[in-house]
Amino acid sequence: MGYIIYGATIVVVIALYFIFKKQIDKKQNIVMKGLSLFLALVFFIRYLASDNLLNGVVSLKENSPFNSSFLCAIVCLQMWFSIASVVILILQPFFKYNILKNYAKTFCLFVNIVNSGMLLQLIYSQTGSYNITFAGAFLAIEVALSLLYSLYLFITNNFLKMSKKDLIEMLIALPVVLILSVPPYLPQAFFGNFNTTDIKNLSFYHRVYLYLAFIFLIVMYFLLKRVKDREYIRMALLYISLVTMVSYCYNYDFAIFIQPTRWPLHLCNTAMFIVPLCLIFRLDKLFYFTLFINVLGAFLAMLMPNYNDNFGFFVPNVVRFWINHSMAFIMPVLIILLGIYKRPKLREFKYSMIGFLIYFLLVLIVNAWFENYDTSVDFFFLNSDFIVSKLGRWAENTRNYIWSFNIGSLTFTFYPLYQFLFFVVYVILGLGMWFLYVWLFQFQDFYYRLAEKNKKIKLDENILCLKYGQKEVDSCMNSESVNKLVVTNAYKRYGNNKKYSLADASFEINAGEILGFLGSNGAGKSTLIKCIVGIQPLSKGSIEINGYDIEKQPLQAKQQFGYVPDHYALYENLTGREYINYIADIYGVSEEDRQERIEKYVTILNLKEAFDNKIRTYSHGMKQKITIIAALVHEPKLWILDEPFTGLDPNSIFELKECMKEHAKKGNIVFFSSHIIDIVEKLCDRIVIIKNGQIIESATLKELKKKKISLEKYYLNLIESDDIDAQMVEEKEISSPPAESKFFEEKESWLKRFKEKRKQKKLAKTRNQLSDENSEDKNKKVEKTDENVEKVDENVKKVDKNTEKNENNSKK
Amino acid sequence: MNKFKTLVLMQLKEKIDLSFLKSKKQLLFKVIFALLGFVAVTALAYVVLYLCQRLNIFSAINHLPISLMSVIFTVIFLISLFTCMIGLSKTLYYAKDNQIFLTYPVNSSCLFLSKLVVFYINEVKRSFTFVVPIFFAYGLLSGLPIYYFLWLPVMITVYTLIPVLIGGLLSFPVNFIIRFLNRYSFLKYALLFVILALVITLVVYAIAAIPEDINLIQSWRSVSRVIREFLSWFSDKFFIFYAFVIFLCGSYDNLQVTFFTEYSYIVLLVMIAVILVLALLNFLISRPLYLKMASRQFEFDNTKERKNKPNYQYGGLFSSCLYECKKSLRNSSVLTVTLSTAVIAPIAILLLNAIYSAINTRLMGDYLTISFNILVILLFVLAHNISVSYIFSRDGEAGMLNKTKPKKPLQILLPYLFYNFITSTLILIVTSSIFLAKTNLGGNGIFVFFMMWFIMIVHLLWSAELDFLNPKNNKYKLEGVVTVNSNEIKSTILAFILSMLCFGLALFFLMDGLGGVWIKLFFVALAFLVLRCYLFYYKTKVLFREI
Repeated sequence: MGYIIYGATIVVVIALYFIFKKQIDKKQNIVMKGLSLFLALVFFIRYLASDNLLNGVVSLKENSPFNSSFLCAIVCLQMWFSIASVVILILQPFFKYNILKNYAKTFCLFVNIVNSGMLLQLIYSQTGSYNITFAGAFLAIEVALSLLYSLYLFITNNFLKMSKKDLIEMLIALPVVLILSVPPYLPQAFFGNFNTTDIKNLSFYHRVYLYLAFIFLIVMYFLLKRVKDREYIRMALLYISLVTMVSYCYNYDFAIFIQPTRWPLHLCNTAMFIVPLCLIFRLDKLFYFTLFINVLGAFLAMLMPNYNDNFGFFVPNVVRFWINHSMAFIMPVLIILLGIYKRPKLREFKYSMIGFLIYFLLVLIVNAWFENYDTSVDFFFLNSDFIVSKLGRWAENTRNYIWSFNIGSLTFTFYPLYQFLFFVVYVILGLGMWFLYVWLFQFQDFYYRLAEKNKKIKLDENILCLKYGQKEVDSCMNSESVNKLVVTNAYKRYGNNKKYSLADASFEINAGEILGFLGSNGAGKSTLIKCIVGIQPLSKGSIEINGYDIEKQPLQAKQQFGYVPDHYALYENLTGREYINYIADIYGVSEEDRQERIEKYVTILNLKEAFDNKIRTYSHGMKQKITIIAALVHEPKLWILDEPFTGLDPNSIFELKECMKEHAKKGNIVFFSSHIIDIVEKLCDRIVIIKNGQIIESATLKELKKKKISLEKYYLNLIESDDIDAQMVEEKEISSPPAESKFFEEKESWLKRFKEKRKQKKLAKTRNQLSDENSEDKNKKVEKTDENVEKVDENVKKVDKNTEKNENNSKK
Repeated sequence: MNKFKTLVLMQLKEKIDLSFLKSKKQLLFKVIFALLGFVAVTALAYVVLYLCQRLNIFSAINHLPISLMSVIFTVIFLISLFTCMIGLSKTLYYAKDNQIFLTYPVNSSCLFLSKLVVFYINEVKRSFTFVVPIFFAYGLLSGLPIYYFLWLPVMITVYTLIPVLIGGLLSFPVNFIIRFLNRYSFLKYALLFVILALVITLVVYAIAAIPEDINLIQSWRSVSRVIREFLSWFSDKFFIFYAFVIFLCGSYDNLQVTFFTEYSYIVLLVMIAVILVLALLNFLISRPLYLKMASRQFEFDNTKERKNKPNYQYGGLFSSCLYECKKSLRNSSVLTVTLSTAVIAPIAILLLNAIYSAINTRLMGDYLTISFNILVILLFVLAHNISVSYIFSRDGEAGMLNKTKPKKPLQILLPYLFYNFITSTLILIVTSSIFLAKTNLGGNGIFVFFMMWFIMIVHLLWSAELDFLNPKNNKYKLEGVVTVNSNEIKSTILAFILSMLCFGLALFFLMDGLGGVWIKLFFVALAFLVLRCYLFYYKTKVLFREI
């Protein structure tokens, strides 16, 4: 009889298909959705109507409806896979992702072919009879529909053909898809009760369930975090919520509708229905209720489970409890962390509290009302001493205050003090949850930004390699800037400050030059110097020291310079000698070299007597001299000094100037900032003037001398002119914001860059292959590869521009 | 008056981060957290006092005697006095901002007072964190009337003036003694040796005094009598504190509490008189001394002639570690913390275990003994590492200058941890050896040691990370010392949480009775260490360039 209904269903559906073929082909999507919903209805009716005999099976032998363990195992497996298959088929037309289609045409098809072959056994396992019953008939229809549905998808979607990527994606997801749809009776059916000790009071087996819940949360988060498409994440979460809802309902039947005491009104039970509803429809307020209230309730329930003592580890009730509560705990957290719903603010918290108040009052009334029919009714533990018994006598006493009244023949009993305190404590705990979420979001954002920054660093290194050929990052990248300091379009903005401290600064200093850096206080001198020496990162632009980029090759670049800060900064508990030796060790200066240099500079700067005393006993000038020696001990290519003459005595100023001249004569670069224009005029070959973060002048002293203009007048004229003002800097900033802190907005850009990088790797491979070929071909192909590299560069620039445009748009 | 107000506000803003006032959300968070903290300390104090009351430790009847509160109050007062002395000597005489303040057009009294007021405000904040919650808990437990809870904060605010003013007075002689000892190193080391010898003698005496078999239940009557005698002796000998506590908490007459008696008014008058006299003495004695010291330059302190030393070359990392050790060993506060931990921790463990071994314990008692040992050892070792939470900031601008050196972030930062890593490990080895020798853990001892060692490194890295990624170099550069450093507070909380976590987990696993306790804990600690190492490496690599 089962096969007759099964066959009839197939015939009817095929007949309908051919009759309405044109219409179906036209409105395929709507028909598929309709079919899915119909299948859902059939499954729902069958599920509630079934008297599942597999519920009591233990180790495939005890209470088994079949004589053969093997048959029992196969039927159990088929019923398990059927749940996954039906949910996949229901979801398939609502989401346009290949993974669902691929599962439908492979996994679901296979499951339903086997189900068709074993239809009678399946019907028997669900009804206890081979004769047809209401549930059996619906099972036959369900199998037939599922088979036709998956077969249709198999035919219309290139049969078994699928891309390698799709296949891998499907295989990775398969364990999750199957494990999550395990019905609660299945572990017991296969493995028995496993253990009959308490799975409470944080015993070992209780802890195993807790660990599993947290591990699942973490694994799912990291698996889904990589997916950028939110709709895809929604689909995955909806699948999880639906299959677990089906598992949770495993012992429900139609009688539940007329037995209100069995209704799923316990807080955590509600979550099994609220979560899928929130994922299907956009029910913001309901979702925040579940986020604050259900999660907390589920966590507390997981800590204090309310099933009977001495239950086995795999007893269906225990498994069901853990499926229910772990999902009520995990799902809302996953939904919010993966960005399906926006993060809650105070307003959302208020909604959730209002929702909780409504729920609380509802349960309060329902409990008091239903108690008249069934004394065991205890939704949300408001009617029993389950909670207070765990807190001690003082808590139990709160239930001594009773308020009771009659309406007609019904008696309504309340415990005002206990129930009020219960509510208050829960609200306070809800508030705690809010803080916890805020902390969790901060934590998530922090690590997200960290990962993005790390990506950016690696990406920058790779781009640098691409720019200057396939060199190692350690080698000198730009031969054009060897023996030079090259600052190119340097921008610097501190934190979230709107204004730039440095905007579009560009200049070059050549070997043998002494360059004076002038500007009024707050003009950006120290900022630029700090960027050059690597104390502050640039927001945009580049700085190359002797061919090394300070941002991308910091170690190599820093080896090239010595730095004298504007204010001495020393380890005051060390002696002068110890400090200099420490610095020399860092730069790897040999013993002979340091002996010679230290002797020389200590004598020149007249520091011999105090050199072995602790630095904290030095005067300001002496400390400044120590920083000068520390900067020169490794004979740097570039010597940077930030206001070096401050606090020095006239002798030392003279000696310092001589040192600077001598250093430049050796073919090195000396770059210093100062407010003492006279010294700059006499000492420098060239000057650079900065105002409001912008370089406004770069001139040689010879030019000024030719024009017979004194540097002082020239400088004052430039500084006092109103041509360049702060306004400009701000405007500039709006049109070209630096990409430093916009990690979220840049995400797409980086993804594209990564794709480009992959392409680049392929190009590099081709290059290597080319090296074996003849030289002419090789040169031509290398040129082509170089062109490709340029194209890649252009692409990267385009992507950058697009990102900037997007940022501007988002700002607007 | 305006100048005074400006000075106070200026210093307060420097010491307390008031940025939360700008945002309502942050303000709400701050208020809620402050309230939660207050409630938490009150609850903790309540639990402890409740247990004391229920176990009738201090009184035969179910009641907490007021003399107990006077003992607690005295201890808090002495600690407060000590911190005020040390804190004020740094704030008044060695603060780097003195040289700026002295140039301001304000009279010296105004400047001196502003410094005292700022310090006083910080002390009031501290009182509200500890003293008020403890007395609140006492009030709740004793069922004191509602006006007690309003009266108490007011009186504590007034009382806090006393330790601050005494601290102000004593800071100069303390400072003088320290400087004197620093000048004559021989005297310093001799004094240190004498103190050490005294401590060891005291410990030997204490261990010898522990009876061979302690049975608290049988001998409870005599123990209880000794406790009560001590309380009554204390009330007699330290009558001032006893009187003040009665003034605060009311006097008992047949278990009926009464406030605002004639006696209370006398205490109030005496307190006001003491405050006035102390203020006057501060003004007359400390103010001129402050001005003298504040304007003093510490340059050229070293007048000794030294011979030129040779220059040696070392490897980069070794050199950094070597000089880091030198810096730490030449820093008196770092050295004091290390020495005191190195001396006190082993003695405490020795004493603790001497008492434990004398007590006839059951299985649960054994579990508690082992877990408690782990807790105490970790508390000592992790407390020693709290200084790491400002180790980079302490260098001021010199620390930041490290960023200009051709070294990777990890090469810059790891040497900072070297001194604490070595000293803490040594302290841990000594204390663990004592603990393991006194308990029968056998081969599991090695797992226990490594578990604690891993946790020590976890805390070290975590504290360092707090500082490296949120350094306060500018504050240290300006002030030399930062009294309220959020990183230090976080590190302290971390030390406490980590120690409690180990204690709780050890006890929990032992009670679980499943075996393999120490191997489990070893692997949990190892996993935690690996995670922290990875995060430390990752965060410093990415974020250090941005600080």
